Amino acid sequence: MSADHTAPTRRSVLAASAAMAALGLTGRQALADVPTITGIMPGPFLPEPLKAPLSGMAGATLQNSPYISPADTLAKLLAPGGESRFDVVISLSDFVRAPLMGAKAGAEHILPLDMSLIPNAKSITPLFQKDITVRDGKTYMIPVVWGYDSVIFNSDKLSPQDPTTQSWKVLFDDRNAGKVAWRDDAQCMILSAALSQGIADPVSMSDSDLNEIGKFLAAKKKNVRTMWSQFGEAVSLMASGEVYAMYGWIPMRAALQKQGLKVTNNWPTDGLLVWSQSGFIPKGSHDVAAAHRIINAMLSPEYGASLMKETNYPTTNSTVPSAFSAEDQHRFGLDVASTGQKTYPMKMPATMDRWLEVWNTVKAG
Amino acid sequence: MAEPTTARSWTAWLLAAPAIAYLTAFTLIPVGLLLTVSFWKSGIYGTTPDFNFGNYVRALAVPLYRDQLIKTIRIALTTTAISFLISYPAALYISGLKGRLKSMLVVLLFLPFWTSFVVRTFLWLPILGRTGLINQSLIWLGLIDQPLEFLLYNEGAVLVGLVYVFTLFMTLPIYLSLDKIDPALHEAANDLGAPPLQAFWRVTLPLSRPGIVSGSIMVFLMSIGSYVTPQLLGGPSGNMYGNVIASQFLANNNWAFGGALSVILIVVVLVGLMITRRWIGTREIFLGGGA
Repeated sequence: MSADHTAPTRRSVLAASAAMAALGLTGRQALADVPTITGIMPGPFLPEPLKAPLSGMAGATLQNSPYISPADTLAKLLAPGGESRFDVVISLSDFVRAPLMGAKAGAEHILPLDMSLIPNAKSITPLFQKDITVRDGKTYMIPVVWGYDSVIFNSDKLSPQDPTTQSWKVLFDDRNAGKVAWRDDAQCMILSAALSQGIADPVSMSDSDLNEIGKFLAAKKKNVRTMWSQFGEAVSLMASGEVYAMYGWIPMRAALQKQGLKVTNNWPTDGLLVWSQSGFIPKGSHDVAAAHRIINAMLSPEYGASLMKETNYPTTNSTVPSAFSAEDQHRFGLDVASTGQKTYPMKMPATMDRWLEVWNTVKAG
Repeated sequence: MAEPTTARSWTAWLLAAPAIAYLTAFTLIPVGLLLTVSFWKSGIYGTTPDFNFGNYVRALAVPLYRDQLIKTIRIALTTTAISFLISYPAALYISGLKGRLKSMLVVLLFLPFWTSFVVRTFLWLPILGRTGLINQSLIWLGLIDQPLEFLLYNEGAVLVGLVYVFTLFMTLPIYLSLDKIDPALHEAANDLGAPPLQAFWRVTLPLSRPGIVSGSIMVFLMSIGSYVTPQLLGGPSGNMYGNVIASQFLANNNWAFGGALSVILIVVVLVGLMITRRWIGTREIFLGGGA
């Protein structure tokens, strides 16, 4: 990476930060005048330092509610009166889409978006255009934040050059017995195991293939130190040296690197698991206009660049990567669409019931 | 004389109202809802009121759920037994003390419970872990060269965690039972020539039985529904029935099947209590010995 390439991008990051800071100041000054709306989304999508700048950009203050999981968000929205509990929501696209859209037109629990109020949606990267939820010509959900799951590993213990390290196979390799952690999640572990075993489209695999993956996982369970379910639990597993490779998330890598550990993530040749989280407005939203402004502001290049710096989570705005050097783009995985990195969307299988049963059988064994 | 009767009736209803409200709000409505949902159907579009027995057929037909339930009952019984073995001597010792030392020990007993359940469970990770307190101490003492792997992430670690977080619920009722025993009874046994062990066996133990039974029931019930402790300490094989139920709600949005599994757990516990009620005297505990 030459200095000539890094200098402008650094400048653009600084410029974005300055713009955010200025907007934040404006936002703080005008806080008393702007409406406050209630939302629910994963905490890292609205980190503390970005709250005021977002208010400044959106002309609305977003009060984010404690987020637990997509299932919990769905339960809150579908509970009696739940549609008016939040004004704006961001949640896992593939998990919430079907239940919130309902079986047929008119059964939606969310409002169609007025796309003229979200001009930044025009910049949504082609990689996630397919996640825009449209029915009868109306747009209901748009991807705002995206990310990927991969293997987080200690590069002092595992060679990044080893082909197994750059594959989901590393989680099932007998050489790593007792030093790996799986995620306690049926969807994630069955997907990653299936990809490692060469199944091209795990979500639509047959029941017999699913059973084979279950047997494979059961056979490899002896190698697993533990299965994590919470962010902090996973980070402390790596930080304490309890394991040196685990199924992991983007902010785990960031958190461990901030602790000074030689930790990075792999780029699975068998398919990086990619997901998006969509923004939408529940039917009972009290301030639909402000909710639109929040979604639009979160899709802005400025917010995207700042969020990347804060949490490493990319937004779906296609112009955000240009604020970073090519080296950083690669390091953060912003270039997955252009480098030929094989990806696989983290979709919900239609037979999730069976997946869960297979997974619970693996755990019970 | 109709008026005083009516007045008495109203007074009785008013006095009963808080209890009725409590039972309605915290037992009848939630359990009734759970029972109702367990006969519904969950699908990709949510849970719909399509009455069916499919969830129960599946829960009973698939060996996974039966095996997990049996394993969970075994872990809950073991936790209860270990908690009793730890709690009884401790409660006996404290109840025999007097003054400030007694107060201090009771406060110390409560001290770890002033913090959250999750934190208390999480604390075992740096104690039992590969780089944890026990392993580091043993290595420092030269007793081992390599960390002991079996201390954490298995069923044993789950038992340690469960006993730790629930043992107070055993110790406290036993302590209260022992503390209520009239010291004159011990003196009488002594005067009548009973050796200490016989006095304990014939006087102390029977009189502390209400505390033992209520403590055992509480520890058993809390252990059988555990979710956090096996999740954090159990590792790849520490799953309990509560985790299977939770996964239906959290990962699959399948409230109906999760509800059916929960109802089965409630029924199994109720049947267990009914079968053993004469032997362990649950009637005496729940109905205050008057019925």
